[in-house]
Amino acid sequence: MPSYKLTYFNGRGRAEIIRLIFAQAKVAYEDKRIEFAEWPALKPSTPFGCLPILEVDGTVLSESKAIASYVASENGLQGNTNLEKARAQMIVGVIRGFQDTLYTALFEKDEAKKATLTKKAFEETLPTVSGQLEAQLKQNATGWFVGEKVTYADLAVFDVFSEVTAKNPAALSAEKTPLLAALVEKVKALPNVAEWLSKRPQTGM
Amino acid sequence: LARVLHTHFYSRRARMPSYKLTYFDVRGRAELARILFHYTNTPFEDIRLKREEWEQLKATGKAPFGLLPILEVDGTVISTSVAIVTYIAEVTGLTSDTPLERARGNMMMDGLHDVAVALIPNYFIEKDEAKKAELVTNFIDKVVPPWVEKFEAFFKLNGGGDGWFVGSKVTYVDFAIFNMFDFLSSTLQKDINLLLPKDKAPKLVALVERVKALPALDAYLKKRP
Repeated sequence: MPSYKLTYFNGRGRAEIIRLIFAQAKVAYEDKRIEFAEWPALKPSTPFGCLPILEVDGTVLSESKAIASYVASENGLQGNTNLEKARAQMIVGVIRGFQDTLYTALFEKDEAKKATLTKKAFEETLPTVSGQLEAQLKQNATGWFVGEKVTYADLAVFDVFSEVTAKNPAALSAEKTPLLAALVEKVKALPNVAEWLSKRPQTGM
Repeated sequence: LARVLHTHFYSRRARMPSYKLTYFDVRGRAELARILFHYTNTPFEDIRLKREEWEQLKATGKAPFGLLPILEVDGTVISTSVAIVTYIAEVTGLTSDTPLERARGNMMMDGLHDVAVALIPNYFIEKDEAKKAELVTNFIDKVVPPWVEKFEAFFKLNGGGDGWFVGSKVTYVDFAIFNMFDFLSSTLQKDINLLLPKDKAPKLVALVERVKALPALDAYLKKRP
């Protein structure tokens, strides 16, 4: 088993999907969390000047989707066939794209622009993406997004929706998107995930 | 023996999935997929839609996330260009041998995407000419150079950057690098040297030339729309 060291800020953010994959796979890793003040000194030594990074026996990976895909593939959480892997990658890409939209709104300094972006994200983008994800679940017809068991696609969707619903419970409706709502509950109830959720550091983001 | 061989080839052909790529009649987000198919001589339907045809298709809900390109593989629909090209790489042998190499390749694909989103779609949306010019200048002067520096350093970790980007054989990542800078240069109507300067990124420049010199790719580049 290689040694894994994940470095990120002290928050869920873009690293949580990786932590969820490690948790579900029950794979040990160093969960390094740095203070913002430490970042400028660390930044030049990272491959792309951003976090998270994952060090695997000396190799340094960056880009959270690439890291997530790697850890998932090493632990049977990527999908079994090339088509399943492609569908999982598609779903992770889409939900992470939505998360990026949320972050853009969150970090916008201009208050008026921030309000517009936030409104658009919650009133237009979210319902659209939710409906599209619901259709994907319906098509796969197993309760999971891909194949017949949990993959990192399910974990990624859970990650973003649990963030969104924590502040906006109405953002996920069991009436409008029953399969999606059920999926979020299913992931939450996975024993390894539930254990991580109960012991992970409680942070604002 | 001839009959056995014929049966083998026939059943192999019968087992090959049918690939249908749908996009607009431009290079854009589908070009890398087209490059990979053409380079590996993999038959595929290269569907190019007019706007009205897309509106019709969109209404059917066939595109899972309401966007193009989509790749249909025996009926299953994949969307998002990165999932499409990763898939094509897997089935055409243009992917790396080890999980860590694949991860480094994925990392580079995400990095290239991060560069692109700094320009797209704003470049195509912005109507004010002055703002658009400012966007372009900022992109070329402030956004691209730090990324190029990081990509060059990352490349050099692989055997000094004298071969292919990951591992020791050509992969879809090499084509992606070529395609990205080719796309940026032709979209912005700027010389590629401005985006990928030889003095700042000699290894990457050499890589792009190495990719362009691949005979099967060269043949496609000469005839492509």
